[in-house]
Amino acid sequence: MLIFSRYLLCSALLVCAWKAAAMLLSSAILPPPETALIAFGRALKTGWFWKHFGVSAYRVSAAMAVAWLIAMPIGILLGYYRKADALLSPFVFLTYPVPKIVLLPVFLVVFGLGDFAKIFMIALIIGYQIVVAVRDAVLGLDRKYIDSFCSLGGGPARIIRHVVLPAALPHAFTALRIGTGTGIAVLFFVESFATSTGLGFFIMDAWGRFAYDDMFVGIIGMSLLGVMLYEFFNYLEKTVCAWKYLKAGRMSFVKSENSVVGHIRLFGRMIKFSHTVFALPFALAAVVLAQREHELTVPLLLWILVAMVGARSAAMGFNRIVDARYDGLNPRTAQRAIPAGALSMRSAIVLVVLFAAVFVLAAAMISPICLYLSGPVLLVLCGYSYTKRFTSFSHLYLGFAIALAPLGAWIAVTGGFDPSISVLSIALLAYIAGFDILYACQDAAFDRQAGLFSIPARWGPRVAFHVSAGLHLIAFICFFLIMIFFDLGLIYLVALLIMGVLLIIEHNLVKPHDLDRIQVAFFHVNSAISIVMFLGILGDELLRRI
Amino acid sequence: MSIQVNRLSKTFAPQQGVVLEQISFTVPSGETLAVIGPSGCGKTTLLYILAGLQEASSGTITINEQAQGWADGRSAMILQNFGLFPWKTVRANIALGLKLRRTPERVCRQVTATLLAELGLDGLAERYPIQLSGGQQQRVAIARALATRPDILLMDEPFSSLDAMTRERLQNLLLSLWQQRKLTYVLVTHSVEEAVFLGRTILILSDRPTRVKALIRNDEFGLPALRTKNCYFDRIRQVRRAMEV
Ligand SMILES: Nc1ncnc2c1ncn2[C@@H]1O[C@H](COP(=O)(O)OP(=O)(O)O)[C@@H](O)[C@H]1O
Ligand SMILES: [Mg+2]
Repeated sequence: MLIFSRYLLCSALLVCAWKAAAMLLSSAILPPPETALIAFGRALKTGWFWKHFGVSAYRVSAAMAVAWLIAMPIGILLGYYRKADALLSPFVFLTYPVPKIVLLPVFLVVFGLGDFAKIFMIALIIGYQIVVAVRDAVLGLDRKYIDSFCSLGGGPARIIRHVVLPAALPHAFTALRIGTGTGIAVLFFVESFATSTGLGFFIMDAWGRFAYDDMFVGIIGMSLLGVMLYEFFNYLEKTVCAWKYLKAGRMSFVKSENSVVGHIRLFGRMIKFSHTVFALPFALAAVVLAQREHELTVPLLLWILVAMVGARSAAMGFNRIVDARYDGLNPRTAQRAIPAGALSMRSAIVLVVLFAAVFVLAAAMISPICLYLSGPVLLVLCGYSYTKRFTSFSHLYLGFAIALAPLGAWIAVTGGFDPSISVLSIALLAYIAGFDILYACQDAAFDRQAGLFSIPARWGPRVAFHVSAGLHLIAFICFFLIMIFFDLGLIYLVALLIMGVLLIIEHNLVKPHDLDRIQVAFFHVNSAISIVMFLGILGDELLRRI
Repeated sequence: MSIQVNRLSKTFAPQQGVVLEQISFTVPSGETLAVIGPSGCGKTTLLYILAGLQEASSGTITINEQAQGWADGRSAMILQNFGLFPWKTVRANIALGLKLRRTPERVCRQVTATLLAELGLDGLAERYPIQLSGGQQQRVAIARALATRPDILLMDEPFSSLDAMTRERLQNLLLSLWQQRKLTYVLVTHSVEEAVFLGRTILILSDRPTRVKALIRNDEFGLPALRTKNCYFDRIRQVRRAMEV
């Protein structure tokens, strides 16, 4: 999290310095940051920006992967085998200081103007750094590890895997991470001529057209690419070489959760990110139905997905923050990230705000009406957290909040509302409320004690099971109505039958006095139901098109 | 398994002089030997040669009536500063010797679990060595050496970097392991007390060129509560006197 705040802070400082420089210079070549950022935001919505970004990302990451795969074994070979070192090292160190970039014209002639020459150039330059770093690491390997390995009966063949490689890995990763800067610089250079794709070309081209805003779009894009690569290698290093980053004598084993990614992973686990499978298929089903009459573009679909993830994560995160006190008291939930102390309240809040911002941004990218609706939607979603405190019908409210997803997806694609899609929403509402009631049975005793409201807590598990079954019957009827309203055919009918069977299975898996299998009922069966529903609608749509 | 060392000599490079000169001793099966001598005299070298990690310049080593060859898995060694692999978890460190012998995964898990429990390492299996205290690291090293059920255990100053309390606890642990598992071990130490507490025979080496200065039989070895007995202190005095000659 610290890194993340640092990134934000540094970006803010950078923007300030940029603004000051732009004001001092007051020349078109350095546009003020807000102009450039707005241009950048606009570019994000265009296909051409992503094309150039994608090409550049491909070139540099392919080059780094190739460099890694080739340089790592060479470095180990040189470091470990004296003979190889004696033979090859002079060659390596003679050519190491030579700036390989000057050979670009030769490469372009020999390998042609395609991607190969560019990737080769970057890989060559990064590869050298990795070779040298790995060789030195292996040479510096403490003798005692080799002795120790041999004393355990290990031979020379397996020492590479068990000793040499793991000892050299952190150094190789560091070289790769440091190489990112060089890699991006070389990328810019090789892209600045003899090509018409990539961010390097984009920057030079914009410069040539005196389109300085565009030029900065490219510059920001390239910087982002660098940051992303750097953080990716950082993450790889911390994951693969976890042992290197442990503090001596630390009592609990926490796997590098101090990185941004670590925090997001914890957050993801906390909000049960995997449970997105319940609601997402409904939203996608709405998209499938909506695109019959309206055009659906790939960016639109992506933004809908981003909005879904953002809204869900923000809402669930908010929920865990508000409920942290109760989670900590309940033995079943005391291990969740916040009460267990693994994720600080502050980090969680930052992430919730961030996901909310992602949601609003995605909505803004879709259409103005979505942007206007995004605020109220967030309020509705976050409101759920408080309903448990005053009404036993919080389950229905949860269903209602989640049922906004297909509605939102429909509005995103069609730009308007249609009563028939609300049937899908009602189905989702009943389906979610139904299984939330089952789930709440686990906490009935605790809720009663803590003064929280739920149907099982108020009327007991038997009543709860009946209500749940009733709701799932309503859901099933709605699933059936969808078939009529949207004129679906045989495939959906089959899906409908499967869903009915699954609902019956779900209700037979758990009994009021036997909740052991609730996790199975909850996760596998539920995800199966929503996915079968989506596949039914999708399959039907595909059949219709043929 | 008995160990017989006969007129063993080691020279690394002629200009450096002889390191070990004509060393001879015998360790009968199930017995223990403590080696003590000034630092730099060649104790580690002696163990390496016994383990088959280095070759002697001359002389013979006979283990159970067979000439010793390249590390053949009948002995296990605990290196001076444990030699645990920082990139492997406790569990992986302990299981490594078995893995290298292509032991089935199920057996590896079983043996590891037993050893973890036996050495009081429960709950530490998924940690990395750096997350352990010195005493815990030493116990992991012992577990790792015992995992392959070696006939001979070679230990190079195993307890010297530990605090006094931990050291005594681990010395007791080693003694009980010796009794239960009928181990034959050679222990290098620079502490006279440790040598008397853990060695049936005490081999005193001279300064370089290293020769056998004295070979003392320690009949009281293994007696219960030895540390409180008078004969223990008598033996310590005897060893000290022999070293000063
Ligand atoms: N691989 C080697 N090459 C050359 N000299 C060595 C080597 N290993 C040890 N020595 C030398 O042999 C002597 C004995 O070393 P060592 O066995 O480590 O002593 P001790 O363990 O008794 O302190 C030292 O003087 C050391 O410098
Ligand atoms: Mg030594």
